[in-house]
Amino acid sequence: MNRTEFFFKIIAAGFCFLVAGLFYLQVIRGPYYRARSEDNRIVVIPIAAPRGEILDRKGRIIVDNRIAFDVCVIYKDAGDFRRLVSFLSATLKKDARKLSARLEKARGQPYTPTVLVEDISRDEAILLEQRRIDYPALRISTRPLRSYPYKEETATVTGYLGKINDRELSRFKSYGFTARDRVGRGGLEKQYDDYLRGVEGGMQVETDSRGRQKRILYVQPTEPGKSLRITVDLDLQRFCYEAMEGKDGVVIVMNPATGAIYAFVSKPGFDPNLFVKSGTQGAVKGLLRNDSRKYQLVDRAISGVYPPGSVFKAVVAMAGLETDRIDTSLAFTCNGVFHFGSAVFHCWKEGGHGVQTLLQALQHSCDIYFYNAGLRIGATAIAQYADRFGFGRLTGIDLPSEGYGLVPSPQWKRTAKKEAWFEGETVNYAIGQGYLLVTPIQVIRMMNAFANGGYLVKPYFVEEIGDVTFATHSLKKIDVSLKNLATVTKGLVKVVNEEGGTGARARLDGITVAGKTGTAQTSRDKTHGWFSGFAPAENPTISVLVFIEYGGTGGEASVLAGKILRKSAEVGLL
Amino acid sequence: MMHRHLRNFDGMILGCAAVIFVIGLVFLQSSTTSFYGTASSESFVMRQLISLALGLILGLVVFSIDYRKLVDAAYLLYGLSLFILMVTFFIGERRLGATRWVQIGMFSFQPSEFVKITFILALAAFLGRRKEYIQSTATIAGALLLIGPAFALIVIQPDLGTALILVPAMLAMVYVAGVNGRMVAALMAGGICVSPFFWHLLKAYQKKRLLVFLNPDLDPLGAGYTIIQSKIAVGSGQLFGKGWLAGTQSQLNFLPERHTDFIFSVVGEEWGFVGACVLLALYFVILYRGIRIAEMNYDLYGKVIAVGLVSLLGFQVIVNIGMTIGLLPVVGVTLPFISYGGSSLVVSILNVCLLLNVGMRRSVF
Repeated sequence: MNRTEFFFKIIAAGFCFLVAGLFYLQVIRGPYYRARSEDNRIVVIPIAAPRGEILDRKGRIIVDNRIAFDVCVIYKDAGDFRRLVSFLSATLKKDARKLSARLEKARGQPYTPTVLVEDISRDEAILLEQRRIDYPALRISTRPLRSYPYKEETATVTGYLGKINDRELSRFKSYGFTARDRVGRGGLEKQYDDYLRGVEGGMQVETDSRGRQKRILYVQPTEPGKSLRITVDLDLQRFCYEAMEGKDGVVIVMNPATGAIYAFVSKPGFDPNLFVKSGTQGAVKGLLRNDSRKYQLVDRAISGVYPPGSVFKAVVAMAGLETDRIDTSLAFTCNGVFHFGSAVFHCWKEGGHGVQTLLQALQHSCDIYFYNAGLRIGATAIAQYADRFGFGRLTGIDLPSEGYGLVPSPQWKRTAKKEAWFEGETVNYAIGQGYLLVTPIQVIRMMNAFANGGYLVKPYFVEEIGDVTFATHSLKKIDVSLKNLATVTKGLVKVVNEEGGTGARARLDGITVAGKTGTAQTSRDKTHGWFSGFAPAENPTISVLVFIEYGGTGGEASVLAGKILRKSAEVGLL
Repeated sequence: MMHRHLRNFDGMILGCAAVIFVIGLVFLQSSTTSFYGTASSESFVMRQLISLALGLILGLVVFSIDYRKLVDAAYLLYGLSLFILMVTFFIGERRLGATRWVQIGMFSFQPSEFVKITFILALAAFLGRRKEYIQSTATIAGALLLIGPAFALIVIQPDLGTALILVPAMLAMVYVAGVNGRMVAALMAGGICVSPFFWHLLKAYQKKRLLVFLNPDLDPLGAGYTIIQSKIAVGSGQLFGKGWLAGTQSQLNFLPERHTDFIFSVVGEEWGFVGACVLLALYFVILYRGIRIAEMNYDLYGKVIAVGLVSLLGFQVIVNIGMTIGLLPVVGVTLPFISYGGSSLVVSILNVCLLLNVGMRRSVF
């Protein structure tokens, strides 16, 4: 036989195979498949998995999910459209034209329920359910919706959700993400998204040609997300937010030994519910575009960098004592003015403090003392100790987008600015001004080191994920002597407890508070107010930081700190 | 010169190809009308027509150059297309988990499609030159060496379908060239024996598709869904079909990939068994006339090229339709002239133009 012919017979056999297959499928089994396609149109209905809850230290709910009711319509069953639209617009008080437009879109999928109105109230849902006899096309479907009952008060901790974007979707599709997904965009929602997120399930449903469900063929159960139990005390958190009424800034309350955070506020804040509700797209865009110019989505506690002002004097004092360039008996006289070359530096107190030793200078926050001390210590040593106390470095807190801040030094200035360091800059450096930039979380971590015997702690929120303990307390010893820490702490006690101390308004009855105030100059004519401290001074169980952004003094900050410490005692943390 | 050749031009092949293409456009319209949000079906049809224009220009070039000259340049063309294929692997665009596309300006094309044609030319060049000692084992070894790089590159991309289409083409060409039949049979047997070792090289989704072929109910929501829906679509078309634009399976979005690899399901659903057979008959005429071109040509180069091209076209039709009706596993092969997609259409046109070229310039004593 001719080889070409033989080859062609193979091809011809293949075609016969196809014709036979088609004949079997379309003619012999045709009626069966026709029936399957006509009567049982298979649809896959996804079932959303609830995200994990976020609970406070006492198990109270900070974030959970509520049931949202959506109004759906099956186009095929809609019948008289105008009657349906006017009924819905009257009952739900919605624009009839928008409803019609949405209904028109449902034409593409006439058999599957299409959402017309999202998130109606429970009463409206019950009402519509009762009228289904008159309007057979209507369906009420439910889905879990993220809910933040405490809104702005806990927003800094919880963060918010956002719709998944196309790039993420194409990257993560194989991990089960769908276009309906919302993912964490800030705060714990972002940091722990992998744990909080559940696994979407689904139902394969056979529906008839009118969209009625006949039977469920297959159910893939949902897997709810894991809940987080965090260190925050809900009462204290809410109190701290309210205490900042009318002010912008930061409050942090934490355990100085473990790093557990009890309260964490950054203001101005935002309402995370806006990101999950419907009809709030405008407000969300405004927040994301920062229309108010207030940077509401920025977590000032970890991402905001500021000059620390006098709070930094505690570090300068440690640098001096550790390098033996100052001691407790060394004194400088403050008459309110300090001449350095042709420059004149002032003390915050006109007329001056008189003769000041280290402890007095801390108590009164005397600038002149620290100008002199700073020059003796030198910028390099100040930078070295700032670094040891954790400035210019990440604290490792379990929140996204933490900032580094900046610890300047002569070496830094040479490489970054290509300029030599001026001694006059050392003078400023010694009172926490100049190039120095810190985040509030770094400041309280520095203060914690005085409270816990010289350790840098890693601040954290998450104690348990599901039923598994997650928190690992991370401590790092700072290379400083306990004796010098105790000396400076003595000064910090005077700040609050002795007459003329700058933080006197943080004083409590029966409990000794230690701390340091700061009133930092800014580029605008408003100052930042700082107070950071801890209590009880002898055996600290709690540390606090209050920061008032643009428009506050250290004194005002210490008033708030006092209130917050009293509240902490009330909730059993002090 | 050209005039003398044109007397031998096979109008039947061109006519059938044109009719198949028009049927393709009609079903492209049908399969994309219920796509919402992304693009209108007019834009799909428009883009397919642009690809047609491009294909006709390239086709005319291939058609007017004597195929013997193309054979002379075959190794160069094959090498060039392999090089582009390799480049694809590094700069190509990933879609549906495979790196198959290269973007040039506003067009993206799939180099593995073009390799099919250049491989046929290269193998024909090789076999033609070995005419005198075709029976030696070295011929088989040489053919394997030639297919090796293309096969390897296409498999790692991965594009299992295209790779598998190349193999029968090679076997057919080697066989028709005159290699000992037992040797070809041994080669096939050997291939089947080593194929289990390739299992490990497959991507997870490819394994899943093969397993699902054996049992579609293994994963009714995922990989098996397409096969189940495609069988329902074709089967429910029955003898005469549900009518154009009236197929519920396709119009209600139950059929995925229905404008590309699974477009035959739409034909089967809307035109039924009769329409499907008409389409098969049209393909069959092209293949039959192609084989006649091979038979009537005394030049070994031309004969082998024609057999290779017929094999490409024939197996692509068999594998594609076989997979849409559940007779063969889903491997991602397009239906020539019908599936939406520029590279597939252009290569189908080139295939037919080359076939016409060989037929027109056949050497007769």
